[in-house]
Amino acid sequence: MEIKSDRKVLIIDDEETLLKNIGDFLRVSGYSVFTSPNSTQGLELLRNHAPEVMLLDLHLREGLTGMQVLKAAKMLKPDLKVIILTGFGEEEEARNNCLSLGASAFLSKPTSLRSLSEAIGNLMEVK
Amino acid sequence: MLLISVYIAVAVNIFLGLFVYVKNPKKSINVSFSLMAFSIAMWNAGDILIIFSDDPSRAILWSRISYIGALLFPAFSLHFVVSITRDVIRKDWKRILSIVYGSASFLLCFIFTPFIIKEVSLRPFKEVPGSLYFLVLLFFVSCFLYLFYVLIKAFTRSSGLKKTQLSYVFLGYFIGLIAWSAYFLVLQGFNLPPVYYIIETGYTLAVAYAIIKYRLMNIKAAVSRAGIFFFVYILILGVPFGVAFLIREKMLANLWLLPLLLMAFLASAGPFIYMRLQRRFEVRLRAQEFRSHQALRRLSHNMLRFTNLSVLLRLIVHYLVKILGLRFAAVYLLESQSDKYLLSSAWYSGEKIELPQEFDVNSHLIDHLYLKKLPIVTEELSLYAPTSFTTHIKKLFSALSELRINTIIPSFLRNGLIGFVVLSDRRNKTPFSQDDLNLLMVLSNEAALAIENAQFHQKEMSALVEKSKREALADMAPGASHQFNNRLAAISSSVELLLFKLEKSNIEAQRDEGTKTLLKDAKAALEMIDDEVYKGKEITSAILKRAKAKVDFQEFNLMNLIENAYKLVMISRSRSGLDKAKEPRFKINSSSQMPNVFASEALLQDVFYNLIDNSYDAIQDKARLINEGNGQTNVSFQGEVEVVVSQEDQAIVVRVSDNGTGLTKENHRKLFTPYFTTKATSNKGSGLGLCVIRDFIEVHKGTITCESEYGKGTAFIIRLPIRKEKANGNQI
Repeated sequence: MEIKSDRKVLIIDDEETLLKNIGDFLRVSGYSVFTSPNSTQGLELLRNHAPEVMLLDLHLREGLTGMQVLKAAKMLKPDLKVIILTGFGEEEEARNNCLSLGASAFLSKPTSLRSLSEAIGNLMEVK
Repeated sequence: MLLISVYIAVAVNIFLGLFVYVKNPKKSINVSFSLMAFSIAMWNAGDILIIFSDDPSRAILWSRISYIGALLFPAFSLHFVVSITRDVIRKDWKRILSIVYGSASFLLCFIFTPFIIKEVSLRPFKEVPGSLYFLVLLFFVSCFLYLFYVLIKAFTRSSGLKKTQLSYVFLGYFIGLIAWSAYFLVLQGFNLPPVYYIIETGYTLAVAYAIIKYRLMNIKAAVSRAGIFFFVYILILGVPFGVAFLIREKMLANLWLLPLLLMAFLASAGPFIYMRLQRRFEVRLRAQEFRSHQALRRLSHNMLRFTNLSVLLRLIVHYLVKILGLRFAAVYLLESQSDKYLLSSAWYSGEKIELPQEFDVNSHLIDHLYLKKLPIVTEELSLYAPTSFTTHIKKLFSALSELRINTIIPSFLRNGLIGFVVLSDRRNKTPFSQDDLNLLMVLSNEAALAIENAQFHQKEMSALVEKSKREALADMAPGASHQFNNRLAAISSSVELLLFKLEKSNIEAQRDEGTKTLLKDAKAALEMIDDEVYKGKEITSAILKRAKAKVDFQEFNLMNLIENAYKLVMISRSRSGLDKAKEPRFKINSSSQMPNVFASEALLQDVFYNLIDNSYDAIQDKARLINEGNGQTNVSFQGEVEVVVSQEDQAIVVRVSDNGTGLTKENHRKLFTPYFTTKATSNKGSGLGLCVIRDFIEVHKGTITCESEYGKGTAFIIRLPIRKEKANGNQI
């Protein structure tokens, strides 16, 4: 377990069920997972644990918006890999905005856990 | 006095004779009238020459020549009356006329013999009748007795315009009768002023008016106007002259001013008295007509208030029937797409008449309306048709009379004929007066404006409704689908996590068979749930695509758009209860790699959604019809909707076809008219009308056409031009 602990993933999503499920799945898959339902706690976790990959919901109900979190996170940790999750479908404009701000992938909910884990795996290997 | 009146009589008769002849030299009515007028002129001219002759031998010659006119006149008159009543009274006119002309010729043989006029004495002028003179009188009287008999008979049998025409002729002969009675009385030595020449011109004038005038004034109005005119001028001239006559002794004693002042006063007051009296009399005489005119005016004032086209049209036809006492009235409006005037609204009082559904823009009727720009009265076509295009007019006349169309009133707007109103005859058979037609023309022009207004309003309204629907969807859909997708994500992640755990736990290793089966079932169920979740995602994504589609032009893939439209149709129809097994097949094909189109995604989404939805409706209807028709449900009918996208030159052609009910000819024709629907129930047919779809296509400078065969199916063909310049610009 200790070996895997350097594969750190941060998840920020205000959907508690989804947050818990993704977290559980990734933990079982061998990642160290930090979860947060809001931006404040999420950025705090980012600062303290420096994860390699962040899963970010684009539409957070409170605090900063997903886009603002993305900007802030990239400033805090420029080499952070970010996967955006959205419930608003494949919106061309939002996707382009996110990618230009340095997001690595853009997935629309619901997305399968397997493909999510694969995406994270790929991003880790790139490093 | 005598001389002047004779000169006037001769001149008027010759002039009218020529005038009527020139108007239409080929018509027997005109020819016989001219001959009649000339014979009167000859008769009167003889009288003038007698006055000027100094010796009796000359006078007798002129007297005899004048009698040639007097003899021919009854014959020509009868001929004229025969030709004007020929279509009402059928008889062997040839034989009767030949008898008349025969007797006239017989008497003419004796005209230069003393048998008719023995001698003439001058100063005082007196003709001494010969032994056969009584025959001349007999001929004259019998001709005219017969003439009046024919005229009265024709008058009672005719109706409408013909009746008015005959009443003028009748009036003319009545005036003539007074004139000739006076004439013969003078001849017989009675002392009467020579008014008969003047009265006589009244006769020719009345008859000529009946033949020449395009539309006859209401005879009551004509007589009342003439009577009032006569009365007023007797007053103006008579009173001062009377006063002058009474005070003639004292005229020199500075009283000459009185009649002069009276004359000046009356002459300036005359027109006002005339107008006032005329108005009074006409209101009395034509009360009914005036009431209906008032109602028509009210109608035309109120028309612009109506913005619903079908209500407006119904209102117009209904009130026309009611106010004018018609059998029916109908409106035809131009449908520019098909270049046809379509029956748009009709109202019948009593039995329904099969009016034609359409008139072609190139038909004679429309040509004629464009030519005249005035109401067409069917009866007049036969009465006054110019000879140059009689065959057309004859055909038109018989077509219209067969339909019992009496009058057609065109509606012009900026020189274009936007439509016309057809009216039947009145139930009481009285024809429309010129005043009626003038007012109807005003009404129809007012209606043209109101119709344009309503059409514009409805189009605007429907565009507005469409826009607000789009906006509501654009507002609602993203939030709703976000919520929905998040719920789905929660479900799918739970399910997938559980599935993952199940896979890891090695079910086969379970020793208990019951647990093993249970776990297998659970796994299968979870997999199914996961599948369904992703189907749910597809639904929201299709709705989102439609909601987010932009109205502004941009480049996109048309195939994706059509597929999305199909998905939306499927989503919206999932409740419609179609038997799964009988689900129509949907095929979409494109010929090769299609270029992206530069278009409005939102508008085209609406277009294809509605076309595909219509196709499914048509298939559903056909399936229902087949079931009802056979009373059994296992008839094999496989519905099929096919979309084929291909490229032709500079256009992308999309053909959306189905094998549904198809359209009847009539529905096919009306397809693109505003607010047309084949769907009887109110819950359906709320989609975009094809007229709006056509507008959307026209925004893209494209075209939409329809091919359909009733019972076989329908196909819509849309051509969208490939806009290269824009597409290239976007790529750069």
